[in-house]
Amino acid sequence: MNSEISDGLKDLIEGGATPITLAELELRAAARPASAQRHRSDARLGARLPRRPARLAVTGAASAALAAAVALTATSLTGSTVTPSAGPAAILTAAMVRHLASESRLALASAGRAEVTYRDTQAGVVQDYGSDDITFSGENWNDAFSQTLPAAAGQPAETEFAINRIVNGQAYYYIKGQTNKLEWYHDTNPSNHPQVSVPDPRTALAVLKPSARFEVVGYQTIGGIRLEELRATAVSQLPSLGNMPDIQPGEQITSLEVWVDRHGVVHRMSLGLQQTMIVYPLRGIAGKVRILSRGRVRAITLQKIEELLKNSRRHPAQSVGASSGRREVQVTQLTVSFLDIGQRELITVPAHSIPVYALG
Amino acid sequence: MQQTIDAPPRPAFEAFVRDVEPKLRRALVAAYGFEDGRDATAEALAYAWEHWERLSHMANAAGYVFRVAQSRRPRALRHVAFDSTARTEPRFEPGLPAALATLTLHQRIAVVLVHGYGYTLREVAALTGLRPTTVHTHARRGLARLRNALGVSDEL
Repeated sequence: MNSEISDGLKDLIEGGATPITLAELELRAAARPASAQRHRSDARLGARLPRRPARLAVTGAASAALAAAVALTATSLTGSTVTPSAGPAAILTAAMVRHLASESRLALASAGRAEVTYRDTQAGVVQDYGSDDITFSGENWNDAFSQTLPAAAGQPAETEFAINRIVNGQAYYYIKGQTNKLEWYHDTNPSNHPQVSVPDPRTALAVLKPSARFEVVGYQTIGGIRLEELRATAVSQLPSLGNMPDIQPGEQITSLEVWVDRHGVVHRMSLGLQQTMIVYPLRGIAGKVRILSRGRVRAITLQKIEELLKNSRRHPAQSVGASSGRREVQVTQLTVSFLDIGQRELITVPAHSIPVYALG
Repeated sequence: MQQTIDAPPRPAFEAFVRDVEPKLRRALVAAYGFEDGRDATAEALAYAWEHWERLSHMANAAGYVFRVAQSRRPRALRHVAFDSTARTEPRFEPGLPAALATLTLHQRIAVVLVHGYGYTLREVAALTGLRPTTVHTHARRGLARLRNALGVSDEL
């Protein structure tokens, strides 16, 4: 009977998903919009906002494609020397503080609050921005966040709000579910819950100091406390972001500032991150568009492109006017404010929640 | 309908896909269902393509790509399902898809890879980042649950 189950499992799985070909990978990689690599931290954060459906700037008519140019991430299998050098997440919130905790070997704070604001631009155009209000106490935490996506590619701007909450190992999400209204959901899946941890601002300065080589920028009073503003003069010496699973390898910190009190406690931290992308346009040719990437030209139908982008569940591609590949810089600016560190917070189970079994 | 005008892909990446794709796809399909699992596999391999220069030097690139697939997959608040209604000649118990869906994510991966395809515990552990003993436990418990759900009563 075991062998029957084994054969059955094999048949079930093999028959349900066909193998992925190299051609499909190439298309998928080529069709990945320049902004596709953002939001990768979302999965870690659980109930992030629904992604804006991918949509092309062109609408299917071949003639329209002649005038349209759709930015694509440059990809190549043929010895590309310039590839996207990775990128800051649009929502680096928890990912970033977790990075700081792990990569910088910062101790983690056991209780308190952290307010995070971020703003993400590409080629100077704002991609999205938002804020997180993270409350944590021991293993419990609550992340109330909002995210705004400006109008782009014919789609209106949208702002959404949601909450991720972990209480005693149980995950709760305050999101718009099938009813399209905000409700609490209880994830009955016991594993793979999102994680949030916040570095202890009381020890952060001492850990960062040797590599950051801070210089004093000035003084500022925040919340009635006079703080010294320090700027890192050696960001290249800061730990790499590349090893975090939800942060793109290669992304670089370009700036780091901290505001510390006279006891050396960090009250605020501001980070800049940057990556350079190579973006290539699509040009329509008699009903097809031609993807230009380094050392490779591929002609496919508009319908196929639309399908690929639709399936990619990513942000819409952006229109660009250039006819050849060009560099675009993605910049994320992130600020973390530490509040009530060490003070226990009450994080409770929502009074009413809808049980669901979330995929881990 | 597409036309390709290009040089052949890098042999090393081709070899990597040949080696990793089946195992990765099977694991992710077991984890997330047919559609999402396949999509996650394709996304992860596309990522590997983009970052091949870096991944090619990794000792366990397959495990890394598996982790990429997990971290990039949009979280979905719904049950995993193995819809096999369209299959014309299934060679498995009719209750198997539903029974498999009742297992935990790790149990599904372990059961499918270990018992379905005969991968070693070490191989599955390397892919998933779990310990071999943990994979063994997931596989054993998963299979027991599967057999129980299918009404198979004989001993393992």
